[in-house]
Amino acid sequence: MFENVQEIILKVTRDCNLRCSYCYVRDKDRFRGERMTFAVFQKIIERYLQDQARNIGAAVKQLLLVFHGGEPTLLGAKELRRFMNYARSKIPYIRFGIQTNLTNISPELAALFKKYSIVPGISVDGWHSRSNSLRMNGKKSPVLENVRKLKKYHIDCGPLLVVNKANIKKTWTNIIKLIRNFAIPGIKANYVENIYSPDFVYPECRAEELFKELFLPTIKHLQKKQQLVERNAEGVLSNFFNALIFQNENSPERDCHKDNCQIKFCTGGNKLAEVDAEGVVLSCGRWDDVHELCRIGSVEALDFWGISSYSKVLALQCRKAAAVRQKHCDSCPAGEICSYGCLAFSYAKYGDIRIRADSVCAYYKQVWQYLLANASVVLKSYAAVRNWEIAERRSRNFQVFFPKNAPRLNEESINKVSGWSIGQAGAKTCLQVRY
Amino acid sequence: MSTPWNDLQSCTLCGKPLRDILVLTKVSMDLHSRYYREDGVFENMNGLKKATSEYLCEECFKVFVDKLEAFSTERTVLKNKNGDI
Repeated sequence: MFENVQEIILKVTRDCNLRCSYCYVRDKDRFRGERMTFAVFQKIIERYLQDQARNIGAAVKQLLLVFHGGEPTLLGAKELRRFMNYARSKIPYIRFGIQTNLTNISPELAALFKKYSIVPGISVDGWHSRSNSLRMNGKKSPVLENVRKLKKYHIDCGPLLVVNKANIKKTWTNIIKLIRNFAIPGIKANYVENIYSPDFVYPECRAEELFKELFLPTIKHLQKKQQLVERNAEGVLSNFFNALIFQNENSPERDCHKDNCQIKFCTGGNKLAEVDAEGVVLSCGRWDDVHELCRIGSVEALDFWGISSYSKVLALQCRKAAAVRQKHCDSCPAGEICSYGCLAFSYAKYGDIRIRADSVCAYYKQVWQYLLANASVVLKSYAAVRNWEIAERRSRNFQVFFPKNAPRLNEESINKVSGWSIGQAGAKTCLQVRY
Repeated sequence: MSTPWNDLQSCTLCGKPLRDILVLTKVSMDLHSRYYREDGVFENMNGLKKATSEYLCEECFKVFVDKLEAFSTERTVLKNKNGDI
């Protein structure tokens, strides 16, 4: 069950003090007062330790425990502290995270974040209180004020901005304002997927809008300031240049864990697992109700060799594989950078797992074409962000040197890019770029 | 990291304590799934693999082998029916 797990999302409650209409936990009134008990938490930690003990595969032990909801701070600072102290006493290498709307921040919570070096993930809709009030039935949101409070305690945060048709035009301005005013290194901007209601109050953006209003400004900012501030774009660039420059990480010879979500086969139920307040393990919490497809089983369930949980994760990924095959994604060049869409959201929307042509395919094909056409110029700025050494030779001609631990260069794909070749500078191999 | 033999207290399947066991057999399972791409390449599924061990007492080991044999017989019948043999 937890043999491969490196991240557990702990849904300590599905109850929340807000009622954001885009949230995938629907009808939150059903969960009023729901809280994970300490006894259930102890069972989760015990199960993790048992599963790790029989694991003969992974050599590196790491665990990130993310308190999630609903709103996890509803559990109270005292109980959260009890949970964290217990977990740290049993698993010395454990790290903690929390995803919160930051409406319940208190000195006790801030002290807890400080003690365990927690950088809370916070949900923000924009810079202005009015933007955020959309989530609070028109009331003024305290989220920005509370980010300021956190900064006074010297606590950083990782904002998550939800992009929709209503705020897409201001998204880039919002990102820059948040970064400048709170000295935040980066923001994740996730786009809304309309999975339930046709008259959804946060309608989806079109692929072209996302490309024009979010991706392009991110790249322009990268080129101008040598900063990569949007996390999803950062992932796209990483996948793009890895695919072009290095030997394929996803080859059968190399076993890898890439991203959790933005990838053909997500790590839900394998590297990442979600546990609800009752101690039921789910492949992911984005499934609204505890659907049979995402339900791996109780933390108390028997699972010899971990084979039962493995087969459940495999069954889910087989459906994703069928969708990939049906769409012929294997022959799509943008497949190297594609997120392939969220299977939980797809199931909620269509009752099946599909890859959406209108949003997913259209967006990533556009991004791929842009990056391929501008690969050399973007690489020059991206190399600076990655601390790859650059040697300018003359105008529109430079060399990139990679760290010693970088994967081997892929000559075949490098030679396919116009103006790129593998060069030698003394004893060092480098990427030679002419544009 | 494998479970050290010295840390074991019982059969990990039936829970029978070590004092009632003559022989304990370590049975490891190494699972690894790969997606077969349209271009004929087996692609890693983002680390979808698992390697684990259970420690079986003589009784559990026998039951385990019996189950595997029954499974094997059943699949062989199916294979014959499909005309592969």
